[in-house]
Order: sequence, then C-alpha cells, then structure tokens
Amino acid sequence: MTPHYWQLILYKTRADLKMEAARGYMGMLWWVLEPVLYMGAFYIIFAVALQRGGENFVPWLLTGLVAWKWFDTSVRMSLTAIMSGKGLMSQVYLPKVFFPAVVILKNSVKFLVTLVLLMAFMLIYGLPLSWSWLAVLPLLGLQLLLISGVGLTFAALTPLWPDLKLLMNNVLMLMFFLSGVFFDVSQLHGWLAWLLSLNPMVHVIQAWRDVLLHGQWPDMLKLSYVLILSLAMLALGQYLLKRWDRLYPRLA
Amino acid sequence: MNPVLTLENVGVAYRRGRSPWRGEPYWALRDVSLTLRQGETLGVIGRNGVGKTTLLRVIAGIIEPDKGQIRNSGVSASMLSLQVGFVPLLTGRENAILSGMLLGAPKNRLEAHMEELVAFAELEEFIDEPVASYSAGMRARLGFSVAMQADPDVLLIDEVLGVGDVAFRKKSSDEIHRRIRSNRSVILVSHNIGMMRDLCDRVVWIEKGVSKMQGKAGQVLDAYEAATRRSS
Repeated sequence: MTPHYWQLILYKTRADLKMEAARGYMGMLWWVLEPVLYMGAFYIIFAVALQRGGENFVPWLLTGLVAWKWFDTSVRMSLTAIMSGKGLMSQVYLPKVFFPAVVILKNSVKFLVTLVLLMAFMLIYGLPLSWSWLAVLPLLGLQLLLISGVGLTFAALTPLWPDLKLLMNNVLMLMFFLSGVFFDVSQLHGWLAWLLSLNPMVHVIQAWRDVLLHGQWPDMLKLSYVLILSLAMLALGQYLLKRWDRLYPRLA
Repeated sequence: MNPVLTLENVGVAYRRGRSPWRGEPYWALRDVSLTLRQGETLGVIGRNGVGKTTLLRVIAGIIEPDKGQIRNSGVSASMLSLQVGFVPLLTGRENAILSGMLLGAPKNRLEAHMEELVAFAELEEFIDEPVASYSAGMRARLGFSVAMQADPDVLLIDEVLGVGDVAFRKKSSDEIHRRIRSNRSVILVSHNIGMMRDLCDRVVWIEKGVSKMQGKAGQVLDAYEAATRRSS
C-alpha cells in the first residue's frame, strides 16, 4: 500500500474520532467517561456489592475486561466495515484494507485512553509500579497485530458470506467466556485446558495480568503462538482483501 | 497519438440473487471496445441503461470486467465525483482534505492549495465551520472545488453539470469545460448531443452493452441521431 493510503487511513481515523467527539456536548470527555463508567460498574458490583474474590480481584477482572473489550469491539466493527463503505467504494477506488484499518485504529486509540486509566486506577488501588510495566508496549503491539489479523480476515469474508456476522456474534460471546476474563485459566487441567489454550486471547489476557498485576514478564512461548497465529491471519486477511478488491463494490 | 487506455471486448455481468458467483448472469456490458488517446476527449453516447456508469466504473478500476481486457499504459483514471466521503460534523477545511485525499490528491498538495480552493468555493468566512451548518449550495460549492483538486491522468465525467446557485453553476460548468478542452485525456458520458459535438474529439456509441460505432465525433453523433429519430 502506498504512503498516500496510509496517510488517508490516519486522517480518516482522526476524523472519525473527532466526529464522535463532536456528536455530544461533552465531546472528548466521553473517551474518559465511558471506560470509567464501564470499569466503575464492575467495581461496584464485584468489590462493593458482592465483596467477591480475593485480594486484587477487581484489578484482575478489569484487566481482562478491557483487553477483551478492545479485541471484541474491533472485530465486531470489522465485520461490517466493508459493507458500510459501499457508497464510498463505488465512487472512488480504494484498497479495501482501508475500511477495517480505520475501525481498528479508532478502537485502539480509545483503548489507549482506557489503559492509561486502568494503570492509574491500579496505582491508586495500591499496586506497586513494576519493571514489568515496560512490557506494556510490546504487548500492545502484539494484541494490535492479533486484532488486525482476525479483523482483516473476517472483514474480507463477511461481505461474501453474510451469515458469518451472526456466527461471529456467537463465537465472540463463547470466546469471551472461554478467555479467562472471569476465571483463572491456569487452574484448569486436561483436555479442557488444552482446548482453551487454542484461544489466543487467553494468552494475551494472561500476559496483561502478568505484566500489570504480578510484576512478571509474560510467557514468551505462549505469546510466540499468538504472534505466529496473528501474522498468519494478517497475511490471509490481506490476501483475501486483495483477491476480492474489485468484487466488493458489486455486492448488494 | 499514443493510446493511453484500451478496452477490448469488455463485458461485465451482474448476478441475480445474492451470490456474486452463482445465479443467472445479467450482462450490463456485453462487448465494449474503445481506445482513448493521449490528450483527447472521448465521448460515450447511448440511451439510459446501456451500462455507461458500469463502463466508467470499469475504467476507473473500481470493478473488474468478467471478460475482455483493459490495457492501461500506466495512467490513473478516476471519476469526477462531488462531496465524496463528506462528514457533516467536520469543518469545511477538514472535509476538503479528507475528500480530496479520497479522490487521490496528496495531502500536502491539498494543504498548499487550500486558500485557492476556498476562494473558488467562495467559502472564506465559513471554511472552519462544520459542514452540517452549510446550505446545500455551500456544500455543493465545496464539493466541486475539492473535486477540481483531484488530478487524475484520465478524467471520467458522467454528465457535465454545473452545481450550486445560478452564478456558481456557470462558474463550475465553465471550469469543467476549460479542463475538458485542456490537454488532459477525458472520457465524457452525456445525453447532450450538442455539447458533445462541441467538446469531444471522438465518440463511441454504445447500444445494449455493445460498442456499436467509434470514430470522429461528428460522424458518430450523426449516425446516432439518425438512428434515434428512426426508432422514435
């Protein structure tokens, strides 16, 4: 892809973020307020009302939730990204990666705000600042790669097989419950543990917890699996988008 | 003169039903051949629904033909489209850059020509206001001025129409005429035979998805007019 299209993706991402902010009177405040309300709801339910979980249960839960939400929202929006761009793509030629890329970048910017808030919350909560927080940047990169791989692949497939949208809604819900957001995957054994370990988000969430909560470096072997899977899906997604580049504008 | 773009026996089939692969084909274009030479204005004439829009999409590279060949000597071709990708909540300036980039103009060139663009659109006082607050005429003026910044090697025009209020309509249609007459390669689709006589060097006549005749503008248009008169 030429630098022009990269510039265009960045400009459109910025424009979409600005547009969202301009929609309400509170503007960019919502980028902060929304994750605060989201995390606040879980904090109130689990820590205040139910008094559930052991020590650090709330930061543990929130870490899983926000990492999952970044993945989930980006993939869901990628599913419909190309078909929402139908009007545009029938007027001008655009490489179709443009549409999911904008959606993914937009969600990533929002996630960054959430992550900063989460880290601030952890410090206020009394968790120690650790050297392992340095791993946040590579971990961000890895999850972005995973999201892009899954997002581009399904963005490419869904316009041709619209049933995938419904299927993915259910798959994502199942993955949510099986990604260890609510329970500790390392407690499981046997075939169930093996099955769950196929889900890359299990390892990504585990890594975020290791880095942010436990002050330790993530499991490199498991993350290598995530990396390879992400790169393979990214290549597949780009291949499919290129292959059907001039077919999408014909779809009804 | 060198051909910049050649279409050979191009056909485009849409499929009935949802699948793009199965379903009975409906040929919007059956067999179109044409040659565009460097710097010329080629007219495309034909009744409504003969696939002229599909043809422009094929030439612009938006869709791929199902049969036939396109030979391109390495030129960019894009349609003259107005208000592409406009976002009402963004300012006129932001929309100008976004829309201009979508049309293929580099960002730095748009920024460099912004003053000129704004002056042409006569929006000096409003360019930093959201486009949502613009009147339809103001939006049309901005859309037109942005489209003029797109600078493809081959300009594809579906009807030369002025936009906006009476004064701007004249100004915008004059500007398009000026561009068509310049040294640029243009493909022009229109129903206005008089205007095509005036603007086009050569014309291709398309009937039911087939290019029936191609040649000097006068000859093809005479033949087309004679045929239309006979059938009506």
